[in-house]
Parts: sequence; C-alpha cells; structure tokens
Amino acid sequence: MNASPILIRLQEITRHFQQGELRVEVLKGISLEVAAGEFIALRGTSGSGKSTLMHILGLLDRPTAGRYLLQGEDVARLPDDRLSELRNQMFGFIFQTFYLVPYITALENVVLPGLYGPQTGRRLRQRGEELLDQVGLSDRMTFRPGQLSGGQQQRVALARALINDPEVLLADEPTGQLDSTTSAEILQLLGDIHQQGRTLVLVTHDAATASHAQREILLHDGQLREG
Amino acid sequence: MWFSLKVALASLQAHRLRTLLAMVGVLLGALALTGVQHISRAMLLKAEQETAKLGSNLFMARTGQVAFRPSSPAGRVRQEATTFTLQDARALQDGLPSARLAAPFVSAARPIRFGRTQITCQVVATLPVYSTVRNFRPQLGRFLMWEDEAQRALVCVLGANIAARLFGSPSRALGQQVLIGRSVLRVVGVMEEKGADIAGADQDEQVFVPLSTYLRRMANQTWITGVYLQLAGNADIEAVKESATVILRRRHHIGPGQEDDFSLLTAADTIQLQQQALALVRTLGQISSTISFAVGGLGILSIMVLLVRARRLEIGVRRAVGARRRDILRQFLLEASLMASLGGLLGVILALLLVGVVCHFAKLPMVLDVWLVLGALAGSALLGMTAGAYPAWQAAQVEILDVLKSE
Repeated sequence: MNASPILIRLQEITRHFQQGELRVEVLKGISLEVAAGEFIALRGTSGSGKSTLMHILGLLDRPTAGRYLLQGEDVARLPDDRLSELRNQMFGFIFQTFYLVPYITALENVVLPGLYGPQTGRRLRQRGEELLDQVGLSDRMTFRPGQLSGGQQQRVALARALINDPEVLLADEPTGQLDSTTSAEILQLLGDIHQQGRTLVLVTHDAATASHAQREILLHDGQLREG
Repeated sequence: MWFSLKVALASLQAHRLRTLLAMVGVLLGALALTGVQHISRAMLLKAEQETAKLGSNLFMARTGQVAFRPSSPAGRVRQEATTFTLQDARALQDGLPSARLAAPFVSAARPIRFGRTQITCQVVATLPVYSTVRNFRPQLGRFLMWEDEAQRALVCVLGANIAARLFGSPSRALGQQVLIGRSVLRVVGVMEEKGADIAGADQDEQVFVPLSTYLRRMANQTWITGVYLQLAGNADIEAVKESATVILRRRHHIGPGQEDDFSLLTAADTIQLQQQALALVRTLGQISSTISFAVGGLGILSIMVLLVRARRLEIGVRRAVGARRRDILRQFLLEASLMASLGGLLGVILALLLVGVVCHFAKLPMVLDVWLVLGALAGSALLGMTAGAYPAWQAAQVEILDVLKSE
C-alpha cells in the first residue's frame, strides 16, 4: 500500500453544526489517509457522522477545523469556484437516493457533470453512451428516471459519476434503497470500477457491504476506529 | 451550449403551464407594440400614396368644421352647416386665380335598394369633372356626363363594392334600376376599385349621381357639402387658403372674431391631421405595450421564483457535480430570456399575421419594419434577463448541503 502515493490526507478534522442554541459536534477530530487506488469502506451507524465525513471528503462541505490536503494541496482556503472545479474533475458521487434530475433523460443525466468540464458536446455524448452501455442500460438511454427501476437509476448515477473520468469515487449508501439482488449487482459494478484503478470510498452501515472493501474503517460517534 | 439549451427546454417543458403563463404577458406586449406600430405606419403610407396620386394641388372647401379624432384616423365633421352653396363654389373658382377645375359635391349617407337587397351607401352628387379632379374612373360603362346634369337625368354610377353587393358582379349592374330614397335611378357605370381616400371615406362604397338631379329631384335642397378645386401646379397653397377664407367669410357674413362655418383642406393638411391622430394611436399603443411588457416581466419574475423553488434538487445536483454559482446564474438567466424571447417571437408572429389580415381587408399597403421586429425580439430577451435576474441570483445561492439533507 505504501507504494501508492497518498491522495487524501485528513488531519484532526472536526465539524460542528449549530442547531439553535445547541452546538452539535458531528466529527470530533478525524485523521485519515487515503492512498490512490484504495477501496475503503467507511462503516458506522446512523448518526455516526459518516455522511458528513463523505461530504467533507467530496468538497461538498467544509470542516469546522483541521486540515484537508488533497494531493498535497490544502483545500481549506480554496475559493468556491475552485472547489466546484475539483468536484467536477476529481470526484464522482453516488448517493443513496440517486439524485437524478427527473425531467431529463438518462443520457442527459449522465452527461450533466460534463457540461461543467472541458469535454466537447459530441465527445460527451459518445462517452455517455459508452458508460450507459457498460452499466447495461444501452436500451434505456432516452428514458426518464421515473421510468426506471431503483437499480437502473443507480446505474445511471454510476455512469454519471464516471463521465469526467474522476480519480475518486464517493458512494454514500449506494445500495441503501435497493433489494439484495440489485445491491449485489451494484457492488459488483463498484468492484469493477475499483479494478480499473480508481480510488473508491464506500459509506455504509452494513458490515456485509463493507466487507467488499480492502480496508474497513469504523466510525463511531464522530471518531475513527480502524477495523 | 446546445445541450444546456436542450436541458433548459426540457425543464421548462416540465413546468409547461407556468412557463406558458409567463410567456403570455410578453406575447401581448410584443403583439401590441408590433401590431399598432405597423398598422399606423401602413395608414400613413396609404395617406401619402393617396396624396401622391391626387397631386399636392388638390384643395377642398367644405361646410362645417372637420376634426380628426384619435379613435379613428378618418375625418369627422364636428359641426354641420347648411350655409355652403353652389354660388360659393363658383365664387371660389372665379376668385382664386390658380383654380383650374372645380367639382362641387353633396355627400350624404342613403339607403340604396335593388330588388329585395337594401344597403347603405354614400351618395355623392357631383359634376362630370369630379372624375378628372379626383383621378377616379369607371371600370365599366361611363361616369356622369354634362347631358345628365342638364337634363337632371335619373342615372347613377356605382362604387365597386356597392355593385358587387347588390348585383354580385359589376357587369350585371349596368342598365339595372336601383332605388335611392324615392328616386328610381338607372345604373350607367361602375367605378374602379379605389379603397379609402385621404379623408378615410371608402370610395368603393359611394354612388355617384348628377348634382342637379340630387338637388332638384332627390333632396330638394340648395346647399352643398363642398367643392374640390384643382389648382395650378405652381399654386401657393397658403396664399390660396388665405384668399379662400376671405371670400367665404365675406360671402357668409362672418364678423371679426367669429368662427368659420367652413373648412379648407389640402391633401397635405389631411395628412398632417392624420399624423396627429395616428401619433395618439401610436402613443396609446406604446403605453399599452409597455404595460403588457411590465406585466410579462413580473409574470416571468414570479414564475421563475417558483421554478427555482421547484428545482432545488436539480440545482443541488448540478452544484455537487461541479457547476459554479455563476453557471447556475447563467443557466436561469438563459431560461428566463428564452421564455421571454419565445413569448416575444410568438407575439411578433401573431402581430404580423394580424397586420396582414387588417391591411388586406382595409386595403392598406403592406409594411414590414424589420428593425421594429428585431427591436421587439431583443426587447423581449432583455426583459427576460432583467426579470430573471433576481430568481437566477436566488438559484445561485442554493447550498448543496441544504438540498442533500432535505431530500
């Protein structure tokens, strides 16, 4: 593992939320290193702070304190636009509830991140079709999310996460809304994606799901326990 | 760019009713602006063409005072008088050195009947020279002749529309007897199609009878409506008007300080009066299109606010996958101006169709002001941008985490 360079380094990350008078400490000093090409499962019960940690990893949220070095660069001081750019180029996201835009087609959903990247329209379309083909939806490209099953929607989300060829894939409970057969298929696809050399962080509450990863990290009450 | 346009259209389509509602306001604004401007321009053009046809040396003296009202560009007699006589017409012809031809006339609305069909026409009782003075000729048969005048003959010449409405076609009208008032008149001619004249009267709805026949046998009156005078080409219109005023005021015993009981009109005057009337129509059109545009802008504003609220998920997802705030801003500005432009485009198309129909039926010349059309379209797009500015800003402020957590 030491052969691979460190991609992400978290140092004493904390995250507090203000709820009225109350200050809720969700993350209480997280230190973590992720090497390029790793497959990590971030396991924890509901309320353990695992989603918040994933949001911070994916630059969707900023930590209250602590340092986050992404490829050696401290992201704390980066302007909003630069964070958008990094999210666009470095990360692919998969969410429990898919987060597909309901009124556009599967293919349009897939190429959505590409609109904010350097790829041209024609190339994007071609790449989107390839990806949908890879996840087995070549005959569903013009369907809207509402016309697809949960498993199919998650495959669309998976294709969307890969459109800009990101370094890191962040999956937050990707099988949380799916039955066991479909879950297995999605996990299989995630395994394939890791095999292609991508870094994968899988957030889950489920030990069986977490067992697919090379390395499992347990999050409990805002603190880490390496498993 | 093409793709984001497509996505914008898809999301607008998903909220079809709201989008349509917002577009209607802009549509009406563009419709009012383009429609009114084009029609008033067509009317002016028509008036100018008529003057050119008549020549600038036509001069009319008529009884009563003529006023032009904004409600209609056609002249309206404000105050009738029965003081104008054939002698006045003669006095003008003799007293004005530049007068070449004079065509005194009486104009009155009368029912005309053939068989069981009765319609209303404008009877114009005049002399044969009218045809020359007004440059208005029969397409079939003949115009009034001096013998008709001398014999007070019971003949008439029909305007093209009257002939068509009573007989179906002009050729069937010749030789037939029509009834005007209690007089039976023989149709001896049908006039060419001419449309409205400079004063707004539809010349195809007129029926011409000999002046003497009308005065002695049909109406038994001595006063006439007025006289058309053809002046020499080099006549000084203002000087002629002054002399004519002196002659008529003296003949009608109008003391100093008293108002004229007659009007003197030249083709140029009529155009000027029409321009004044049309300026008012134009201003009203501008006001109403401004109001419509404002309402349309407010409509777009409120609907965009709703749209932004309904599309928070989309905004959050876009931000998560790499859209910068300014990308979101740009997207919603684009959508708002797209909405407005589409409304404007439909309004302009509708207006041009309407103008086409109106010009066709009112026999006005077709006009197309490309700059006005482009201006209306550009204005619509700009309006969309302005109205969309606040909602787009709101959209750009949406926080990713708020969206992800609330779902």
